[in-house]
Amino acid sequence: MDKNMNILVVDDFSTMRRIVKNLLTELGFTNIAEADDGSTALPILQQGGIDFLVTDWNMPGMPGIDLLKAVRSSDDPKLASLPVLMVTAEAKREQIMEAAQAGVNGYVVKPFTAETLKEKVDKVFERLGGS
Amino acid sequence: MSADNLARQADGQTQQIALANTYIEQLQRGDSEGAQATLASINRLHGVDACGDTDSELFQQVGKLTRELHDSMNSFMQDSDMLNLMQEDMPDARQRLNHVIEITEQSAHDTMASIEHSTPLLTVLQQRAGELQQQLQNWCSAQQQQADVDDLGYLSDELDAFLQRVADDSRKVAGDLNTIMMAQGYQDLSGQIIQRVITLVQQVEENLVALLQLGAQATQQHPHKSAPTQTEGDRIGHGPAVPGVSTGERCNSQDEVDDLLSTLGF
Repeated sequence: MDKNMNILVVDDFSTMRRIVKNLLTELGFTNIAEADDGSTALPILQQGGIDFLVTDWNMPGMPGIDLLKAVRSSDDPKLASLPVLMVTAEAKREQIMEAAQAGVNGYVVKPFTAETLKEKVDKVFERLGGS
Repeated sequence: MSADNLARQADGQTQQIALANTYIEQLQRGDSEGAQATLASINRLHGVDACGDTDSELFQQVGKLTRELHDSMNSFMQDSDMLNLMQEDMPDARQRLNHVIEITEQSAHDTMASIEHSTPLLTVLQQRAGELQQQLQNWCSAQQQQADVDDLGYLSDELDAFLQRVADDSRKVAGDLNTIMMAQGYQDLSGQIIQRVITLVQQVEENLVALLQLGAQATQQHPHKSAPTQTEGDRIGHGPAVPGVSTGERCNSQDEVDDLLSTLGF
């Protein structure tokens, strides 16, 4: 896993963005950008250069599930196949299944631990590297 | 009595008899509303000469207003979500806010516990560092007067033990700092819950305004805003789980999420 990859963290709560960013920094990642909802994240993603997306679900404006679908349906093949990890308090079975069907690469429910996040990030790239 | 007066009286009597017949018919048919109106007409006719019709007019108006208000209230309660708000959403909101108190309390305790755990570790390290520094300085000055080699051995053992302790305790302090950071996640979770309660308060406010307008203008229809549907809720999100507030079948832990995903080929 390339620790210099560009990561975009999307959450409407700045405290949660900070926590995720700190945890990713602890895991050795150095290039982390932030956005506060899907509609501000999408233009950043479309500009290119982001290698990994970590997003919340429940956000005003554009929710995370819509952002995921927008990413997957992108014309840009690199963006369409971007690894996406969902970090959210949404835990309804239907929603998790919807995210899975929409092509999410990992799903972490809040409140989570540092270990859970590390494990899921590792797993996302393990599986991508294996395929 | 003039011929004119006589004629008017006869006319009034005929009218009263006709009205009385109608009244009886209506009562027999079970048309109580019509009967009431007929009775009012009789009273009015009867009272023209006696005491004027101001009082009965007033009663009629009040009666009419009361009936309209009653009907409007009924239809308001039926098609507004006021009942739902009061019976379900309000108790839910109380539960949500109680949950916010619980998670903020828990986070504060986690933070304090980490601080209480780390502080004594740092105090001991600081104290021991001071002692060893003093001993080292003593040894250095004694060195100039050719001190005992045993002293050096002792000092080096002490320093080694201290450095080991610094390494161990730093790890513990780093762990505590990590716990403190993770504890701040309450701000996101409680924020999401409070946002939902704010939306509810807003709905109650809108409904109360509609109710006030109803009082002012009994027959006016109020705009009715419906709650988001289940699928709409799935899209925009339901927010964090709150004990006692159900939003459907949900996973209660990361393990349950992982299990569900593994059945989907993850």
